[in-house]
Amino acid sequence: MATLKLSGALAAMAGCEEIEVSATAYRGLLQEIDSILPEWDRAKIESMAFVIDGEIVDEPFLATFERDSELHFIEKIAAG
Amino acid sequence: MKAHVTTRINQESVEFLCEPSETLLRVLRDNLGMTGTKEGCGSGDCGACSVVLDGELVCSCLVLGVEAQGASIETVEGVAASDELHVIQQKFLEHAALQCGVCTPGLIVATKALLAENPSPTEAEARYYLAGNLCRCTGYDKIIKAVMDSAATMREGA
Amino acid sequence: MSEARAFKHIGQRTIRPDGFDKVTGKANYGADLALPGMIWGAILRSPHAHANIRSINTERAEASSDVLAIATFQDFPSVNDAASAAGTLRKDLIDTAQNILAQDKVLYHGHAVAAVAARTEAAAEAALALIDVDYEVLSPVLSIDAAIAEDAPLLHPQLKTEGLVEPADSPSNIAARMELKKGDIAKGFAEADVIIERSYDTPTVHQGYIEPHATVVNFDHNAPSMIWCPTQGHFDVRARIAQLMNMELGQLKVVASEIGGGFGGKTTVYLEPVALILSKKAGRPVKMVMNREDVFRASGPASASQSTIKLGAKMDGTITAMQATLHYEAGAFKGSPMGPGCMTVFTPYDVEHMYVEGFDVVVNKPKVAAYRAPGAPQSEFAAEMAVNELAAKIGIDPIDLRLKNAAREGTQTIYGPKLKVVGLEACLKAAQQSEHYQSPIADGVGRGLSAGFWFNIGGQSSVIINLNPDGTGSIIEGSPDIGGSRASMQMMAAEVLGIAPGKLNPIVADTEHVAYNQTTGGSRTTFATGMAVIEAAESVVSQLKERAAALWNVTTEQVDFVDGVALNLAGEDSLTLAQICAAAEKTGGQISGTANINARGAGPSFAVHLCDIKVDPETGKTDVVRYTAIQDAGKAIHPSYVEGQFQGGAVQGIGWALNEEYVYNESGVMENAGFLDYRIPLASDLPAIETIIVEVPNSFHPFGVRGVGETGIVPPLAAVGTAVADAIQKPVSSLPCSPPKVLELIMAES
Ligand code: FES
Ligand code: FES
Repeated sequence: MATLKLSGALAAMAGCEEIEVSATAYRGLLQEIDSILPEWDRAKIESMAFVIDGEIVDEPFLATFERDSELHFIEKIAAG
Repeated sequence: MKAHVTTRINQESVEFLCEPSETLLRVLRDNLGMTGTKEGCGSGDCGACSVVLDGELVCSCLVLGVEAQGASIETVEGVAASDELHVIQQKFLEHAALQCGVCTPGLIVATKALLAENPSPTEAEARYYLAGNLCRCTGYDKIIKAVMDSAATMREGA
Repeated sequence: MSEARAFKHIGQRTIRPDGFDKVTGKANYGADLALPGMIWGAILRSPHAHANIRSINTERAEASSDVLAIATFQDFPSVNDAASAAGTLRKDLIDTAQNILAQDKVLYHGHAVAAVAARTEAAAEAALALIDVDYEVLSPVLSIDAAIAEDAPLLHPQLKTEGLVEPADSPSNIAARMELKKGDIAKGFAEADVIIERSYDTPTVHQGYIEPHATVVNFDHNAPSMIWCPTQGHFDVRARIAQLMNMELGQLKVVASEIGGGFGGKTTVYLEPVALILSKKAGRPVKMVMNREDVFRASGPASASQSTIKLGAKMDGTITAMQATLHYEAGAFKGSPMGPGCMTVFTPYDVEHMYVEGFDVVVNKPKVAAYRAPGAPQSEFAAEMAVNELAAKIGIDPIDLRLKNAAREGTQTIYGPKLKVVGLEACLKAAQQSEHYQSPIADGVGRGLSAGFWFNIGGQSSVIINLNPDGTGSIIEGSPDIGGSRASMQMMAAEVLGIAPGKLNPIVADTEHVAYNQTTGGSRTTFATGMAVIEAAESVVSQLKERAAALWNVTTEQVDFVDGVALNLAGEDSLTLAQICAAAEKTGGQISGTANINARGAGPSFAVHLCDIKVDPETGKTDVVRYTAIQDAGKAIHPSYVEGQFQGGAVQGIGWALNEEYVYNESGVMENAGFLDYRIPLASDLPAIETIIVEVPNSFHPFGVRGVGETGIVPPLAAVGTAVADAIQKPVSSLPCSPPKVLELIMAES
């Protein structure tokens, strides 16, 4: 099971700092969380970058990951 | 009423009409289409508009178009001989002394004026002479190296 | 990637291909275009920092024969629909529109209210007096403290703080809160022998690009409307205008002029949509140019900040806990770089327990824009100042302290990912061994150092390489060249194709001639667009092999391609790239390669700066006497332009630390809106800026590249601040270290 790490407002809403997920792709992950946390703001999450084992993926739509991956949602980084 | 002005720019005689309140910078850029001279501030603080007027380095944003009457003006467009670059231009390229390049025309004109006045400036003299030409990209290091190398090369060639 | 790889062109100091035009004055920047029939636009700006607009009356202007068109907020079709639809994602768009032309409130002095077009620039400016605006003046909110005070006037009566644990019920000037945690901060402090807690502040500063914003727009009903402007991202200009004006992307063609500096400040739109409205109404091309005063008052500067840092450490130098509270001014609309500020603040450290809380605060100043590593200089200034003080308190060399706690491969960052291979330790060691650090410190001089971190980004880039029948060619890219990137594109393509860089002409195409490219920013261009160039060139190479195979009647596997020459492994034949191009007609037509990528794997870049400063005890005047910038470039494609990025960032940071600041009077009017009084560094203010390029390759890039553009502005603030503190032997907590402030510190009782 991959591990989704949560922080800040997301962690507060979920009431925990990590969730085990069975999905192995970004799209599946979103659906899975929809069912676990119906109140989360999916539009906001979709506007965030996705991190797979330390690698920041700005446009994660087609991203896949491993069963033991560690996952994060982070703010997109502004360009200067 | 517009004034009729006759002047010389880069060794060519030029006539133009301008409002008495128009700056030489405006005349060069808007009336004559010579946009090599840049505007960074319009208040004499950045040097992007540097030209040489009767042998003197000036900010063209602080000179009126009508003051060009009977004068001789050198702009960045007159620094290179047709397609052969001036030593200063060549050195700016070799030393990567420009990033965005918008300060470059002013700096080339000012460097030429510096080396005409003082062919062997010290680094400190170069830094003070060029203190009126702002560059936000480079931190000046490579500009000063290009200026010092230009001076050395021009002395050898002289 | 093998580290010993020998490059032919990469790493050389070639002459940039656009250089000739830039040293002769031929290159065309934003204000350099004139079109037949062109008229001029001008903007009416608010004389108040905070006021309700009761009415805007344009009747007198409309009646004037000089005025050819007028624009106000009401001319944004999309926003008026969106305002009623009120979706959350539309809110950003409405903010953008209200910043470009105020709707019912002005939120800073200089805020645009209306625009007119007339035949000449002077006539347009004169006509502004014909627009009557009735204001109800409100008291301005000019600092973080004033904005978060209990009874503060509200800039946006609807604005509620996002990111609170309990959703906010009442409106506030705090637009957002962010919290990041790692480990257990209380435990970290409990383990500490030494704890220090300090507060710091930094002022509003401006990117200070020498070229003011400018645009020429020609609205066209039957063809794409043309927008010419200096921008870091013409595709994003197109997207923004399309949204604001309810147009399709295909109805717009944005041409990126040469750009006279941006540093993040040219990543948004101000004049372009207004000029489009005016051009549409007048039926003529419209030119608009900001003057320097407007650039200061009404473009997007960088956030002022207030930070509190608390650090805990053991006497052996192990840092056990790092905590920060960071406030960033967003200006008139939400959206400061508070997020990246929180994410970067402690990234140079591998420490178990961390806690960071950030706040995005609206004030009556212009809406901030990105500025080189947006958010990082402010927060890392505070963190690095505190780390230096910690080192002094424990009595350990500041580089040793950093080495003991340095972030390295596998370090868990507070914002989520673990770091891959990074070059911080290499930079610290290079700093320690540098001649500068080894040299004695002269009398009356102080020395400071600081580390700095920036993420770097990848993202979308699209490139086409076309070869000509004689073996020359062009590289068509869509990343505006802000500091010499055409040269590195040429070199990377030349490396893959095995031909001289000068054979390839790099072209920054408009939005119609190449597919979408993300904005030049985030230190992404040499990395991501470079990666697209390499991929396009590799596609060209495989086609060259196929063509050679066809000419020799062998299989492609029997063809090798080395240094620009195809070799027939089944025989003795060889063909140069030019010969294959010459025969292209016979083997299937001309040769070109494309790459449309979304680059991943941008490698972060760390830096360490060293600074020696002399302070005049009589006047408080500071003099930078020696400065060295050390940074990891992964692989320097063109070392001169890499050094140039280090030096430019360092000097902007030196200006931020020593002189630059927006000075406001009580009514919220900026009092120093010009280069005379907003003093950016001059040639005479500075010594040589020494550089050391560290190369710890980024394994995700074929040549090892890490972006280098932004990190360089992060370390100078604390390097300079610490050097000043060292010189005067008093703590420094507030930037800039301008002479009056330094003198005050010198005079203060210790
Ligand atoms: S434009 Fe003349 S000095 Fe700046
Ligand atoms: S190179 Fe950009 S201002 Fe000098």
